[in-house]
Amino acid sequence: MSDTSLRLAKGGLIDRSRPIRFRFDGREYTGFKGDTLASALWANGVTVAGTSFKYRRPRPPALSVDQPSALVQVGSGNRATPNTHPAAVALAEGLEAWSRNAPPFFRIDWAGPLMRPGFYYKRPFFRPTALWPLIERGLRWVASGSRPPVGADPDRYDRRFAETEVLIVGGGASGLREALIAAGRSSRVILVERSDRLGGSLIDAPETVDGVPAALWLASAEASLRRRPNVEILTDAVAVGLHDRGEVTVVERLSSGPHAQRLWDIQAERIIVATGAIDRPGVFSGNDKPGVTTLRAARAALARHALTVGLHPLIFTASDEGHVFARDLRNAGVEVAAVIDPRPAGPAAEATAARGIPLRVEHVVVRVLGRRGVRAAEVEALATDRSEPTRRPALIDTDAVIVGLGVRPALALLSDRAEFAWDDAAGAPVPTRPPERVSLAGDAAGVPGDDFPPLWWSPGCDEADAFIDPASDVTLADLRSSTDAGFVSIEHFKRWSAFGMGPDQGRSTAPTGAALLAGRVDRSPADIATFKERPPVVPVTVGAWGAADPRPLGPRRTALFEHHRDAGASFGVRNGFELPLAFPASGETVEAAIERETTAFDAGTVMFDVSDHESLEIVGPDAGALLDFAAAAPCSARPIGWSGPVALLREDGIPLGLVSVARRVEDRFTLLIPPARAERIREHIDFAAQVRRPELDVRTFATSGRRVAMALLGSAANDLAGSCRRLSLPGLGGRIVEAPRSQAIELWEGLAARGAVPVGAEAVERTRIRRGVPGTAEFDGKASLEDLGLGGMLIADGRDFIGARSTRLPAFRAVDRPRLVAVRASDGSPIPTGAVLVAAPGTPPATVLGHVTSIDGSRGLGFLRGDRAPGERTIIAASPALGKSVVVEIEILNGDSP
Amino acid sequence: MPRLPCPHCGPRDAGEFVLGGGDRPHPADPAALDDAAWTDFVHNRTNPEGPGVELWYHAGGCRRWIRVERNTLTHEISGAGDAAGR
Repeated sequence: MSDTSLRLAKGGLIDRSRPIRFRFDGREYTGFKGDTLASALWANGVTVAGTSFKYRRPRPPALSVDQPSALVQVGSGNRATPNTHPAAVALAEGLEAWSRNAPPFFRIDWAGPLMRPGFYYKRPFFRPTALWPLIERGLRWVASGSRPPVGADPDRYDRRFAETEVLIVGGGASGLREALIAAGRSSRVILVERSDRLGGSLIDAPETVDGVPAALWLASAEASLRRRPNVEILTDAVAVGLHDRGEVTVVERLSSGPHAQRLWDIQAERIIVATGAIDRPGVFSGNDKPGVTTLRAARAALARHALTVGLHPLIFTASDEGHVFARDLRNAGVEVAAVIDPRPAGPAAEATAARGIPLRVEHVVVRVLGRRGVRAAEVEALATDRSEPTRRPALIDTDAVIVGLGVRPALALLSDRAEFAWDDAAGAPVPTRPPERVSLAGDAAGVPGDDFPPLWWSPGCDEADAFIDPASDVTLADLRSSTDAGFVSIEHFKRWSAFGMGPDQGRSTAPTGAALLAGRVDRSPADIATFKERPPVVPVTVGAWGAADPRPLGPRRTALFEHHRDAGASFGVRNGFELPLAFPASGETVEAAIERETTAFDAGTVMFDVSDHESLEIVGPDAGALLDFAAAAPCSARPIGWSGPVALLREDGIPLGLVSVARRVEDRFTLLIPPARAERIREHIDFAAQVRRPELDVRTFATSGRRVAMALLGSAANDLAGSCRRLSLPGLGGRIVEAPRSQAIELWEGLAARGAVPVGAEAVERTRIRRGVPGTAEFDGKASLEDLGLGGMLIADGRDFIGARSTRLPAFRAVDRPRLVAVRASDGSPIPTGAVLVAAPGTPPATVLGHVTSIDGSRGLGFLRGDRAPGERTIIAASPALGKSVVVEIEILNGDSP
Repeated sequence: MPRLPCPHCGPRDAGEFVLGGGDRPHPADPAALDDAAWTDFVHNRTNPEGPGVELWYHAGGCRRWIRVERNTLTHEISGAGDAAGR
């Protein structure tokens, strides 16, 4: 360590025996276990980590996540994470990060004059608009230079649900105290701490707690909590959202084990928010320069990372904590340039003076000098009425300015969940009433202040580079531009200047902006509402949310999966099932196999696995009466041994889909339900039975998984199947053969031996499209049975059934309803995906007459509106997304031959 | 996740259930209603604020429809019972 290093020779919580190598902007550096990326960069003298997005000013890697920072790119390729706060990144071996610097040309400061506040609202932003795609690329290049990940995310993520009596957010002194109390009552407790260790300000500003030195109290409290089986402690975990009924979302970062992050869904009876306090920023010229740091960030850096922000820093403080820190810095061997306190002299200031530290009371910092850091600071006397000073700045040599102008409760988690009102004592909006189940503890509940009113800005500073919101480059001059434009609402100021639109949602600066705006428009801050922060309160990567995958176990498989696999089948996932798409013979390509199997439909007898269909038994004396009521056709009149397809309607008359029904014995019906709608249809039948007709003596249960089912289609199907049920694909015809699961292979092989050709899901789909049979895509929740050419399946015999009344509405008989049609490209070329059907020729905009729903090469199905016969006009299938179109021939389908 | 007190399975995550909408009387004789009145029944909801009764389907459990007394303003759940009274 050289004499100019900001890393102190001893102290801190870093593990100096474990050096960690990392790279930033291509250069290799070394930090220690326990460092964040930000602290390691500072320790290596890297105090500029990027330029601000608008004015291109150098910005530091901020040492606290509560402070606006230059954002960095972490990792590359499939592990790239853009726009990351460097204090939120734990240093790890081999870590690579980059600044988001714009190309060098843009580092010169010309963007500012062009991008005045509200510039995007002013007349000719960029014309002609046709150039926008090009301009957007240029702007994105200039604006961030960050790169999204490429390829699939290789990391795994975990999801956990938990219930607890008490959830404590914040592992500082107050959070620990609350945890000890709750744990002592034997309540189940979860404690969430965002940093890598418990302690909070007990580490950063060590004093005594209950008469015991802070470090000792912390060690004893932590040991006591970790011993208790009813307490769970999560570190590196951030509560990002507070929801109804005590539900809290927590994102936990994991440094070991198979998962990168864990998303917690915690249900708590009581939530104690002990998130502490956040520094009020100082607004003066050059307050965004690297080297200007908040008191809390500087304290944490010294205590945790043995890091000082300057070799002879200046402390600008309106709280006694700043004087205490001056003492701590001196004890650590750092020469303090001066302590500047806007308040009148008091005991704390006298103590500072007694230690021989240069001190000025009733003074403020008005300007920081330096290009890529701090060289000196100008201080002025502060008049009691805080009027503009009389231009007699004193220059103090320093290399850092530590700003501690008081703190306010950190309540980002509550922002979205409570009404807030301005509180003069807090100098910030506070909740008028905490949300349900939530209570506040410690500094989050209120920070003891003194009589000195908050210093929102330093009178006499140059407004042009005094930043209210460094994260979105908003200055006092921009505020003036907004009030000059006549805006008095903070929401207008926000939209005019981008104030508070940075990645921290304005967290560090919103109350300051509100107070300054209030001062400018002669109002009380209480009349200027501040905007709310929305969950997640810190950025969360998409991967962590992705852990919410509802199907972590992967697709389901039928009993014949292994058998199909051994037969060399090619698989794909359809409706949650892993099904054979085709059965290629040896040496045959998958596409050739599909074509061969499709041809087999017309040539002979084929069989396919329909065990993915839901098998539902309806049993009881009133089984027939229930189906009469739940379905669009009467089933009770059918003889024993009958089977056939039946439609089910919603109350609004639109079909849910078709099922295959078989009557086995007098009081027992079996339904075979296509997998895409199985859940919805079971819900429908149970609704009919339990809610609408509870007096019926009937019950339903599923036998899916216990039996296998094969569909047989073609000339020999009837012979092979005997008297088995018909398949529920109207138009295709066919029979279904069932067997217990244990006889699946025997059945499949037996049918194959007698000449049935096994076909996969692709050939079934192609045949369906070629024969004009509606499938899942055509039962779209809009088309009626009549529209689908299935009008014959609606048997209204005067009985009451679900959907009956709606089908008699005039809308169902309108002549211009979209009807199911077969489309075929006139020149045999493929129909583009996502095509709409338009009439041609014509002048734009074309009238959309319908759309394509299923495609098999040059053939497809779709819906076409209008009562004119096909052939009277030319129809084009055009895909706006792909920019492709093809002339199609239309055939209206009214096959109606289930 | 909020929990619903299933009368058959006990308190369960709301994610196991499908919301079937507010419970409301079904017209005894739909054929007696004119088109406007029937369309109003099928498509329009009053969406009341405060206490109400809803139908939920325990798709991830007992597969029973239940009636749940829920306050749409506070999300307080004050009771639940089987829709068919079983």
